[in-house]
Amino acid sequence: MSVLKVENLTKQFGGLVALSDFNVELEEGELVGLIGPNGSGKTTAFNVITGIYRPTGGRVTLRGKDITGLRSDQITAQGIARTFQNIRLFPQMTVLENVMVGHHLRLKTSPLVAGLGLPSYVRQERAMRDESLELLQITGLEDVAHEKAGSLPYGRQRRVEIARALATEPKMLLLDEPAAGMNPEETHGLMDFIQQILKDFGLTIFLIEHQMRLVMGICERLLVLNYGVTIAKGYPEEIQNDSMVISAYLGVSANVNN
Amino acid sequence: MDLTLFLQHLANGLSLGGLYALIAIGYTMVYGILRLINFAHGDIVMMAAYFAFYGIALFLLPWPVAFLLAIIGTVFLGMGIERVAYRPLRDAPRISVLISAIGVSLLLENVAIVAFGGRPKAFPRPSMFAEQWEVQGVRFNNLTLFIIATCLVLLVAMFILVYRTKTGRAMRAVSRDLEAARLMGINVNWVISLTFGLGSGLAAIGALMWAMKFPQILPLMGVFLGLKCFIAAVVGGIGSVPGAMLGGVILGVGEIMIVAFFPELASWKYLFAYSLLIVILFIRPTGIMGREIQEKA
Amino acid sequence: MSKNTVSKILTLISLVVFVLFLLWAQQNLNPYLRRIMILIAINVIWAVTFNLVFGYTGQFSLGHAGLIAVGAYVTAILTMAPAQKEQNFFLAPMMWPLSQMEWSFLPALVTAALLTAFVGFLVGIPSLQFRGDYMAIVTLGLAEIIRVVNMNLQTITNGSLGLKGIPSHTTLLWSWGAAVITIAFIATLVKSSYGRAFMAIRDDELAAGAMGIQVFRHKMIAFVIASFFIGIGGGLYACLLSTIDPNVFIFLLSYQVVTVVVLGGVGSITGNVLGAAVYVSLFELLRPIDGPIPIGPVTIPGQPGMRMVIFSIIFLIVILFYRRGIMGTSEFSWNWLLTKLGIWRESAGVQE
Repeated sequence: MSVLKVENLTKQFGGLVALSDFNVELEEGELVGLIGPNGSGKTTAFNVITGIYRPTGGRVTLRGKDITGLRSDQITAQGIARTFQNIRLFPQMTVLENVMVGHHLRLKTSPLVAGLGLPSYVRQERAMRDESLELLQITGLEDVAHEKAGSLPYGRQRRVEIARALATEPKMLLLDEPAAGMNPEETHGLMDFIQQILKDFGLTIFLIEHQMRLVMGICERLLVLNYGVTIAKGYPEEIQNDSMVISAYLGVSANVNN
Repeated sequence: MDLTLFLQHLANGLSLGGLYALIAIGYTMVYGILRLINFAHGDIVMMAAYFAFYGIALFLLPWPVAFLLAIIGTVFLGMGIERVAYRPLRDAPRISVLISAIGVSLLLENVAIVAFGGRPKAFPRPSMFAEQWEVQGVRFNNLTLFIIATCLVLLVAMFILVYRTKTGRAMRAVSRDLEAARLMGINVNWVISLTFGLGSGLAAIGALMWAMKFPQILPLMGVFLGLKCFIAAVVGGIGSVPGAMLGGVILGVGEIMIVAFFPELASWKYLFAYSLLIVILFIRPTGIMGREIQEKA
Repeated sequence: MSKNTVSKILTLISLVVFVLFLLWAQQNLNPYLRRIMILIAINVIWAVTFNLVFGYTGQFSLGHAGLIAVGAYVTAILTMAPAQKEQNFFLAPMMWPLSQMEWSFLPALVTAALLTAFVGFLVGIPSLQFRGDYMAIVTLGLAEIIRVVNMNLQTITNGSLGLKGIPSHTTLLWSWGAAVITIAFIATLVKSSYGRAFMAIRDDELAAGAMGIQVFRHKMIAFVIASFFIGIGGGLYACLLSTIDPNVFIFLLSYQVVTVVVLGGVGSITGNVLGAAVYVSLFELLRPIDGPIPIGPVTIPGQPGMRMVIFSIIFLIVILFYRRGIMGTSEFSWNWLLTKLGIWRESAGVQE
């Protein structure tokens, strides 16, 4: 059974069709990329899958369970976590606190117990803290654990976002332009990092990216969107030479090159 | 209930609704541009009434002069408040401006209590408004008709201003997207000042007619009136001038009709507005004529 | 001994000292000063609860006055003697069994708190669905509805006649005891994972949801817990004033709570305590301004209400120029104090 199955997903905003008949199936352990020019509907696809937007039509299934139209927190509870194109950390809280927030949904307690500071809660808090520190180690952030998240450089903020997403114990990770704003060296580090967490956490990863080096380097399969429509699907080598994809990015007629 | 009584109530409702509409426009325009609920707007209404009162009672001005000066004074008051208490917080988190508005409201109320005294004062009703007419057996108060007529004229004028002039277009642009409007070369500060000035001016006219209709003025008179008018703006569609007009009329007519048909509910009259608010926020939160604002992720 | 243990011991010692002080004050301070201290405690409770909902969870509610009213009325009704009730309800007799009930303070307070929590739940259902400014208006409206309802329930609340002769159960120990418990509970809650969830909602509701936090549910948790303690504050207030009527719980009371919190620093519990102390003290200190002030041979005639004008100006100055209030978002901690005094050395990292 596939981990994520998206069937005929459509999203309309009034008259504008942002996403049209989007179909994708991800098997366990796959690393699939979603590319396309700006405004082609990639983030919209993510937003609909993760419950930020309600779909106008279509279905999303996670390991066979229908999650179409659920709220974002419900979908995260089911096991899909994500990062955002414009980083959305909690700027006033420290890096460690940001990551610990990701653990909150798995907490088994009540506000009363927590407010009274009962041992059953204190134990869980300690466990959450230890696990979060471990995540910070893995993502190379333990030196800034107690800094305010908003004060970090852009590249490190992205890592915090990924660590926070990992704290929710997901089966699937959706990364929205994780390499945005990174230089080639940082991008390379990120590529290794993504492949590492793919293995170490047993994840399935779906990622949006503009940096072709990263996309071609680590994605096993690609989907290409343009104006909300899927114009190509396949392996990176095929996509690279697809005339429709080239014209979508460059905006020229496909015949010019022939 | 027979037709004549119904028409009388309707006329009352429309005149009340017109007053609510005039004051509601101030709320809706400011909210549309700054996303701010101007808590002090109701107190500006109160100040207008007192300006006119003292103009007549203390300075012994003829009432048209006092009224005019009161309106001008209120316009400056509204613009001054924006300049002093809201503009400095333009870049602060939105809730800070809201708290500032509460502070201004408190200040105006307390200054009024000290300066004007807490006991209600009797607002003069010029004799020309004391007459009664009779049309087809329905008795109309001169004042009621005057209010309806004035409101219609002003509302039409507002409509023309907002939708048919360059200035109005600038106001609508700022209300849609402040930054984009600024980049287009629109002087945003001037537009905002104008919005406050207009809203306050209309509120002042509404205040004067209100004070003539309900001749008791108090320092706290603006509070519940303001709240009701804000509800009218929300019901009609916050950010929309026609919406404020619609909301005001609905509220005014509704209030009068409920008490007319169910006199036992008179003491619960206050709840009509609040209940209407809760209902509209559940059924159609953007109001009858409002637009949807979607957040991007 | 770790810094953490030392902090805990210091807190315990301070509590004991404080209790001893309260016992001494109860016997030795004049009633006027005692009343001020009680008022401060009650305002602390209101401020800390407002802070939980606004400073930590980012929800701006102006419904405090309505919830305080519930706590006050329920406590009053449950603790008043039947004879007093009969005297009060001359327009229409009080509803049975309320007319015969006379409970002791603690059960009455707890019942009032639970009922207020329930009303808070009902208020939260509509209002927590809206953001910032809208929520302010909806909660304001709902608090007003509560006030109007109180004015009309003649056989339960005595309507606009109000209640006179409420037993004066509120003492220094009761009020400050309640305040300390409120602070302890809310501070613990806020330091826990729930606190982080609240702050996540405050900072970025959308991202909070995406991280699996049930946003509405958590807003409601904060609101209901706050309502519970507001009820206690309200009950203490009623048994302090000994006379209440529906107009005591007007929106101006909600504004007062906002003033206290803004003064002390939104988001800081220490700030709430300081804000309450400053507000109540200043309010009393400025009392002479309302009356004639003799300065040498000249007497400046007093103007009733001048006090509130000065307060309004102070409020505006704070919000315009010192938005962070006295404490900003910082809290008092033994670590800070002892480091400042040079007794402890600064250590890297945060206290456990």
